[in-house]
Amino acid sequence: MSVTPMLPPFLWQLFERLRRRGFAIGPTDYEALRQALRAGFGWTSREALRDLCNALWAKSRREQETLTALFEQLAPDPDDWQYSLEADDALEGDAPSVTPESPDLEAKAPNKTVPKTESQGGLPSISLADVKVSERPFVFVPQFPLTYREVAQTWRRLRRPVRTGALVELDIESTIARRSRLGVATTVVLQPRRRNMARLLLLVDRQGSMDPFHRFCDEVCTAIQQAGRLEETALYYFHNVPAEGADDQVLEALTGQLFPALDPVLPQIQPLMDGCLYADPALLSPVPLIDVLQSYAAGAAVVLLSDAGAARNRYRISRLLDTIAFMKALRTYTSHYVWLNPLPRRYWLHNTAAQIARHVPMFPLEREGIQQAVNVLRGQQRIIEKPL
Amino acid sequence: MSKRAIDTSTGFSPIAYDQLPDTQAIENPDLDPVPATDPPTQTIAKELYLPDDKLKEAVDLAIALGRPLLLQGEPGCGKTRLAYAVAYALGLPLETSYIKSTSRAQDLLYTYDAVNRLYDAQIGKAESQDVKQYIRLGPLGRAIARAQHGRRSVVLIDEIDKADLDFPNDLLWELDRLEFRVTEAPELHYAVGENPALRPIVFVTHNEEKALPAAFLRRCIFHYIEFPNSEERLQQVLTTQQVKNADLSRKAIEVILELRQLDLSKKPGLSELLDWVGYLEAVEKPIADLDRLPSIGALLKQESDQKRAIEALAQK
Repeated sequence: MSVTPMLPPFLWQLFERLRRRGFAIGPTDYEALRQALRAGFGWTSREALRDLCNALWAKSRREQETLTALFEQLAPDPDDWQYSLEADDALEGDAPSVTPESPDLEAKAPNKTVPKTESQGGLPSISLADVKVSERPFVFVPQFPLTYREVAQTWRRLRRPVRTGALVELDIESTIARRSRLGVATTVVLQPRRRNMARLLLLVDRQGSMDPFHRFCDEVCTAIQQAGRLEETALYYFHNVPAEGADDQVLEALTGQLFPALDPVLPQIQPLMDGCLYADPALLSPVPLIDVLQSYAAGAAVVLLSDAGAARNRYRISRLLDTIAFMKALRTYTSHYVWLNPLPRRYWLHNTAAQIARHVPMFPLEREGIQQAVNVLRGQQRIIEKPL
Repeated sequence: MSKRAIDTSTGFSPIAYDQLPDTQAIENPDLDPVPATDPPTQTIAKELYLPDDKLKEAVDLAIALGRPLLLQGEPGCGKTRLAYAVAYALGLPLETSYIKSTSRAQDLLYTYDAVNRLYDAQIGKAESQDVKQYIRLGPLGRAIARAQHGRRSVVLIDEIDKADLDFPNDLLWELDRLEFRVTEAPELHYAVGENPALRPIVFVTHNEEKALPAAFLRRCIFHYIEFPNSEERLQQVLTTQQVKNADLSRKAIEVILELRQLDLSKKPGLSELLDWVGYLEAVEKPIADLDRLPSIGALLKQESDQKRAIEALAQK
């Protein structure tokens, strides 16, 4: 058996940090690095080792950026690097198993110019010679409650395979049936291949209370668009509510309550399609709501992404009424719709969100939430308090 | 994921690519069944290519570990041509598979022509009894069969993201084990075997149109091909591609680097630059005219981009 050299300890640390950041790497990938090093790759310079890690562990440009930043943080500077290799040679064959080494936090400052202070007023001067700062102390890669992979994986389950397109596949059943019916050798029956025909309409709340969630929502929408493999994904934006101006005369029956629920007047609320969506996230190019619904909503899965008033923790009856009226309009096009709320469930308690969640399947924008949401979009029954 | 033997006996970087002859006789890859011995050869012209050191290293690593090399990069930066260059450098036949939206993973291995067999059976042809007559090996299938005969191949799976999501997932087992069995004819079994020097060298290109499944990504070596970042490097690329007029190419590089600074919806890439310079050289365009962006259609493919570029260069 060949002797397995120990890897420099910072590589294990790097591996662990990458795993914590959601990289899909496992023991075999660590082993792959060890194999590659044994085969002679990545020894020429620090950059070569970094590129090797990138090739094996990072599978997109963004991941490569993260890995590079972490590598710069963790890897000792070249002089120490040489030294640590020799140290490992000495340990060779000692312990082939991978054990987490004590953290090597002494990544030295690569810039050798040490700031000096001048003593004034009799105080002792301060030296920064022993303070060790990494060249890239921060990793400027956003980390959201949901990773790109999680969203992508979940949304791939939204499928509606339909045979469509050119006739290329042999339909054995029909061919046999036809021949036995006619009793002569007829031509074979061909059928198109299956394709995912699921369509999705994303309606995203923007600005105001949604401001803090813009980046997160963008990330989620991008992941769905890129990874969903759907036939069509339409994305439109709105502010607070997709439709406005529901007839508030129905509310007169609810007088006397401070925080009225809509239950008694629910049947009287008329579907509402007046309003504008926006094609761009800055809400500058309006599109009539009814056009969007007609083009994209019929038979499609619809996802609303909004805090539903939970961010400001307010209860506004007009918002609730407009939302319910819009949902009623949406129901004339499709029965597959969900609401995703970027705020966790505990924030919905005493505001409009809690009321909307009684009528519309609403899920927090987190791992379990989107899984349940996709289940609902796939047609799974979900019990809500007061369906529309 | 099975652990694989490492093989460093073959590498791309030790080969001085620019010193290879302009043509070479290489085994003809399209023959099915793959001949066991003395395969016929065909003359292949050398692919003009200038890989940088990082890319060479990535190719070596992929060959040594026996994993597919997943290439990403701007359109037209030479992802596909790398496979041609490596195949030429190593003198191996190149099996290509250009993926379409209807491609299935099984097509890479083999296709079974059930319809023809049915017709043949109808008219009483004797060979319709033998299912093997109706099995056609696909590109990866031929590469594995060739390895069984002791010869190596390079396999190119181009634009894998065009296919359905199942495509990369369905390939996992075959890429891992490098063996497959024909379901319709179970006695047909192809396997690369133990010798790592026979493993097909697989290149997969990917346009970022759609994300690939994590399980597939894990098995690949990843490399992103950058646009050449320096003027000198671009000049080398143009020289490699046999652009002889040095003054013209210098000016063209200047223009393209400037264009890439602009906020365009599609930045001109390497292949656009080569098209443009090639044409300008052929029509002997005066160098001073380049600032007015003649034949801009070769560089920028959108009207808004073209307008913006012309305005920006006119302001200078």
